[in-house]
Amino acid sequence: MSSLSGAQFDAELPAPGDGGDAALLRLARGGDRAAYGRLVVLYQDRLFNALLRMVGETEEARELTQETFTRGLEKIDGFRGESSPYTWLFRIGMNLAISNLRRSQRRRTFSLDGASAGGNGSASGDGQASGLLNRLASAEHDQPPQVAERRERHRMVLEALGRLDAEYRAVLIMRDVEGFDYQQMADVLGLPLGTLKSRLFRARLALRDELAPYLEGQKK
Amino acid sequence: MENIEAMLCAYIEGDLDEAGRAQIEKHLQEHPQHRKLIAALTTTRDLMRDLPRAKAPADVGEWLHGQVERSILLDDSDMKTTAQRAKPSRWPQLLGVAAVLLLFASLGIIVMKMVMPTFTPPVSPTAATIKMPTSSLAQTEDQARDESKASGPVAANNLLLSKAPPSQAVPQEIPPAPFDVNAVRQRLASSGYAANANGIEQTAPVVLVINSSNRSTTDGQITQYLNRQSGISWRQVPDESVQSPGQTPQLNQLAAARQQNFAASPLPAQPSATQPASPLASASYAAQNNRAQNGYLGDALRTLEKKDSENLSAPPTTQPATDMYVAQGMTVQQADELRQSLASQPDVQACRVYKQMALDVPATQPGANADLVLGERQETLKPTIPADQLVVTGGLTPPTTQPTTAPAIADTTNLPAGAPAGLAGKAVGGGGSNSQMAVANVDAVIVVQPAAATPPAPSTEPAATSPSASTQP
Repeated sequence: MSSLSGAQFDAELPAPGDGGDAALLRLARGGDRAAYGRLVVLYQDRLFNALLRMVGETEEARELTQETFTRGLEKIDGFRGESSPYTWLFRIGMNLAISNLRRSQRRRTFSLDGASAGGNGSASGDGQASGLLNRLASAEHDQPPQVAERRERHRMVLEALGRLDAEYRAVLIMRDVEGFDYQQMADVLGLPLGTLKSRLFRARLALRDELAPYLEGQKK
Repeated sequence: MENIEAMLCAYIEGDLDEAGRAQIEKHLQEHPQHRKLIAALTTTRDLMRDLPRAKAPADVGEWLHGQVERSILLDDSDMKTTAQRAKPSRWPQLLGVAAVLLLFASLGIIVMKMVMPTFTPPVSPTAATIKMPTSSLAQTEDQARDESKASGPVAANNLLLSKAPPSQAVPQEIPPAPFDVNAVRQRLASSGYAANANGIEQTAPVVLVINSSNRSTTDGQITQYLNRQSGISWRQVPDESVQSPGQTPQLNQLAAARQQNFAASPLPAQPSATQPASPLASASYAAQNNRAQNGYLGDALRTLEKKDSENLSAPPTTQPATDMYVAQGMTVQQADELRQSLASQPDVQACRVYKQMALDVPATQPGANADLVLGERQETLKPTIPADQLVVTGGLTPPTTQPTTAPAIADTTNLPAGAPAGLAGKAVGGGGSNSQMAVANVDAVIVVQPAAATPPAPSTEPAATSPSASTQP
């Protein structure tokens, strides 16, 4: 399941959220290098997926994922255990992603056909979407029309997501993709709960505006 | 507003409590258009949650995994150093920035040196003359040059004399004979010639000492230059072997008195016939003895002779006498111009310029304000001598009536009563176009001496007399 080849990391992986990851982090803080490796194996897919939804490019998401784990290792002594290890790592990764997006001052649209567009709609490569496309392409012609329709819907959503501000994108990803509860989201973003809910509501409004043509077409 | 948005958000998420949900439902019944909005937001939520999940590329954790495995194998004590090693080093960037900063700093220094080679804040002339040179003329020049940087126009003349264009080829300098200013000062005090006690600004003559292997050519260049310049009255001090035929008894008396004045200070020994003296020594001794009555260049030459005998490493030989010129109206700029023109000649081995200044010589006798520069008495500044007593004696006659044919330099001090009035101080005669020249108005003394056979080793003093070195900022 893991991309890592080290067998010792594949073994004895705890289920995320059952407390095993916290134990691994404690071991890692104590100097157990293998424990941190198991944390990497445990969270790399999830973290990569979240960061990919944030930045929209596979290569950038990969670099951000690696940087997140590196920063986590550097700051492991600063982990106070007030949140879950994944929330802690996710916060590091999300801050890195938002910083990257602010630096580049860009908005991206994501698609499933291997093209991600900039703010002006120009297309560029999208490895993550390509991977998803490849998984779907093999069955594209011999699958029912629902598959193509679903694929088109995903493309529209990703494009709309890429046009949102990074802050809106982050709360939507945390809530809808990662499944964070409000408290986790507040921990990551450092916001009061009321402010967080308000921002989530506005983010949904913004996404609805972006998806308005699609939604209206669906009605027809 | 934030509360309403938070409530709507919670309604969409299904997290609202019963009371809140009832409140929202009631509102939606009253406003059906808002129900459409809630439905749309719920749809977008479902669309987001329906997005497929991507897996990390194969190499996402491999590099970190590799680092961790390596740290295990190497048994590194600090796991964090593993991650720090994995991070790219920023030292090359820092070094690059440092190199750029260093480059800009260097350029700034170069530009500053080009724009502001020297800074010469103005200082009063008095301040420039307060410092007394130590024991040598070279040091005097050093100090004068240093002071010129700090004292502005007064010492600027000294600096100017030593300057030469950097591009000009300067022949190898022979270190000049050090000038013992203390000895001059003592001689001044003992002979009753004190500094200017009345605060009258003294103009010290310029002394050019020229070593030439071809005196005749050099002399020709000097005379050509002096003749070409307007406003310069010059005179060549004739050969020492020529006796002054026009000495009068009065002048002889004056000469005797003069000798008495200088009796307190020892004179250098006369070079004997069996003991050949250096060229300058021979010339100076002959000059002071053959023109003993003038008292004019005697001290200067004696001083030069003394230092010459001390510093010339070449064995003394019988050399032709030194040619000397005195010039009136020659500025320090012109003297320096002459020096530069001579220095570029191949026959000239050394060309030195001294701007002699009797610095801080104490005024030991009120009213005796004569200045002595290289033994020169500027007696026209002596207020004790009535103007009607200033006469030209010693064989000098007014040029309009009787051109001078014999060398004579007259001392007009203590002239007897009845001397012709209206004549200034002391006159230098012989060889030139003018028959009289007041000592006080002599602005330049040019000494041309034969080049030494073997130049002494270069002086270790900080280029006191090197024109090229003096141009250094």
